[in-house]
Amino acid sequence: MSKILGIDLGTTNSCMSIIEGGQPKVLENKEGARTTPSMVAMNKAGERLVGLPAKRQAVTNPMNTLFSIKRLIGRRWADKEVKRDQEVMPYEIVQKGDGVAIKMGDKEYTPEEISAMILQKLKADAEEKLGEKIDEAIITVPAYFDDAQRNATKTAGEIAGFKVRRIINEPTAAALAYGFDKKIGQQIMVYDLGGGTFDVSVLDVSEDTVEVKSTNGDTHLGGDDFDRVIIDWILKEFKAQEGIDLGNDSLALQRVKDAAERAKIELSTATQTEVNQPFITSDANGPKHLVLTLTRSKLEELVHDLVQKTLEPVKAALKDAGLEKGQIEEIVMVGGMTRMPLVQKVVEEFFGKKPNVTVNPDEVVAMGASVQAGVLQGEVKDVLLLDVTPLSVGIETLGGVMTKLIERNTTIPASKSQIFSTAADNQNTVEIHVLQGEREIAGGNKTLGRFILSGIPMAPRGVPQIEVKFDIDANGILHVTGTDKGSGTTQTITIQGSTGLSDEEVERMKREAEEHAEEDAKAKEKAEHQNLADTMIYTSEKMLKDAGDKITDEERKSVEEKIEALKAVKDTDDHEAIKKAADELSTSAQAVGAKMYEAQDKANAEASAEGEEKKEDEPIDAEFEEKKEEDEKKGE
Amino acid sequence: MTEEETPQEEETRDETETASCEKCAEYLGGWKRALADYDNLQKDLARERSELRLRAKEDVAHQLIVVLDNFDQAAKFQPEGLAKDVETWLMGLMHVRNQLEGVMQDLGLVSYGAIGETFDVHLHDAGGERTEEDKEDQEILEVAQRGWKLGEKIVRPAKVIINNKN
Repeated sequence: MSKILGIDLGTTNSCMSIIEGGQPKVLENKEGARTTPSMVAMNKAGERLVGLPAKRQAVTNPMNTLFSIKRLIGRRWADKEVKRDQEVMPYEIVQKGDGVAIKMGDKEYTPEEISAMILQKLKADAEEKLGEKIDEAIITVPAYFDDAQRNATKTAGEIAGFKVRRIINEPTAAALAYGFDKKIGQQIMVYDLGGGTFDVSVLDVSEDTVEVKSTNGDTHLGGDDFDRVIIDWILKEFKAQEGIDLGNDSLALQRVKDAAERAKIELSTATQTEVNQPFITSDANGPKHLVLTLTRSKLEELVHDLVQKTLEPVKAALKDAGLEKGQIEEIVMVGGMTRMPLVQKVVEEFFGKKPNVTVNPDEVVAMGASVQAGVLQGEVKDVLLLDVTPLSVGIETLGGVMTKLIERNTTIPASKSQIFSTAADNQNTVEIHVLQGEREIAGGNKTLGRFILSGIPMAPRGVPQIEVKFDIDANGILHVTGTDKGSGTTQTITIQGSTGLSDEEVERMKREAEEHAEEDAKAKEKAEHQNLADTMIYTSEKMLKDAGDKITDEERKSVEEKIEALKAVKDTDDHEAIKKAADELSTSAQAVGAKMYEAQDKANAEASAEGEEKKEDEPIDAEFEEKKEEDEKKGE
Repeated sequence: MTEEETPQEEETRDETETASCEKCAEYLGGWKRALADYDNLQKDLARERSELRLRAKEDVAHQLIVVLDNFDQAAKFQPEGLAKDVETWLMGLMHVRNQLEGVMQDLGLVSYGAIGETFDVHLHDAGGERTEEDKEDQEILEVAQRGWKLGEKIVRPAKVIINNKN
């Protein structure tokens, strides 16, 4: 069965998406962009241009470059919106019967035909990308579109060669993209601040429908207005500095426009940005440079009124729906402008809850349309639901630290093993303490179980290899196996319901981990320093023992003093002192070690037949805990 | 009664066997699908990784292009009659610019857009127009910003001023 294309046919830009593997996926157009300008043009050679190519020649061909056609689709000649567009649009709008037509080249086209050209391009690009024919589509329209506008949009789809399976509301599509159609009985607000229009809708989700309870908005408020405010500020500042009005220089003005848009985007993540356009113009005194710093707070001051202006339609929509703002359970943000932190902040302050911003606001509507397509196709029917581990699981290691083996949010079934070792010489048992939680410190997490692995052959610390394997099966049951690789001794523990935590419990544990993040990090650091000190002391003492008479008493004494110094501080909280003492010990031990090697080399040279050095003489690696990590194996 | 099954019992057993066979087939099908999905995911990831590399190059290019544009812009404003020492100092700066251009070339980027070429919407972005009778219609009169290509992909179209004779 061929795919159904979900299309957001926008006023300024359009976007398309399909369902792949049960998930919505935005398709790039032929130019490699995820959105396509909703523009159509006819050039002098009589070629029809759609999308980006049309936009690129708009300046030199304004009469024959059509944009914002969505404002005209399904309209009647007598509508006041048509009158307004007639005045402001550079192209010619003419009467055709009761409706309207637009002149492009020497022909007249209906808005349906123009929209069909955009849809045709999307269809062709999608087919090229997917390598298969696409005959069906779901197209979105604003919730306030009347029957005539919806029918005209459907006609446009049919002219483009689609069988239009559904015309759905843009806010409904946005809610679908977030999966909110399952939130039966809830009220959702969709706040859509796009390039040129602002729409707000209140949705009521019931058993099998998502009903639009009210809509409101401002058909002439959007990102372009925000850009204009920034451009005006830049021009004003430059004029104040240099006395030159860049507004009269079209090329300079274009650079200012680009810089303003870039600054606006940068200030969504940064708190300050530089508008840097050197050599923007010149006068009798030489070249002039446009260099300004724009802070986020200055930007917010500039656009404050515009953002506040969006709240009036929000209040009106709530009133029409007969709801108080507290009754709105979810707020969905749509349109590129909702990336601006101030917009999110104002909405959050108004509703007292965080709006949903995780799905790309430029793509959320198209994605929702394809989710609807997926439902129609039945693609989501046979999806096998896979569970994830709600919290990390691991074991306690030296110093009371939790070493995670399987991180939270890992899809199960999953398994992972890791090699650990002993912490003391001749240690013949180890305790495997199985933990669950996000804290760095073992004590802060939940104990799932513990067992003793005994019968480890006598060996210096760090030598035995103990493999700990965690395996969570498809039912969420955790099997922990400890194996001593030397003797082959194995112990296993099975823990039921490691995933069966209540949502509250999971949330509590995650929250606690966040709250204690700093103190845990400190405690972990302390444990690491102490472990390091222990290892240093252990290896130095062993070295002295092995050295025998190869070193002088003086050298021995120097190392012993440093060992004592480190022992004195290692259990304190003074990290710096531990580090300093460890460094000093390391330096003097290294000097002695180097001397021992020298002596050894000399002995080797004298009697090369003596063969290899004995293994026991090698210094032990300080890494005694995690010797190696094995590949994570999922779905065994 | 003999040990043989009655026809009814046999039928029930057959039905159970058929049902479990169907289940087996369903599970085997699901398993194969999961393995195939995983295999396809690996291929998708490999493809996406190479796309990502290309995109990362494009992102770097976008940032560097702006710097080169400003060097180009600076060159346009070079004053006449510079003192010898200023001129050699400027020459050094222009060598820095050439170095930057070399970096772009190493990344695989190629610049284009020249006066006299014919305007093409797939390569150029019209920034303005004027009329010069002795030139062809739609001819590029001025290149405000050079265009940049990475392979076949247009990273940034050239911004041009074109001749409009009608």
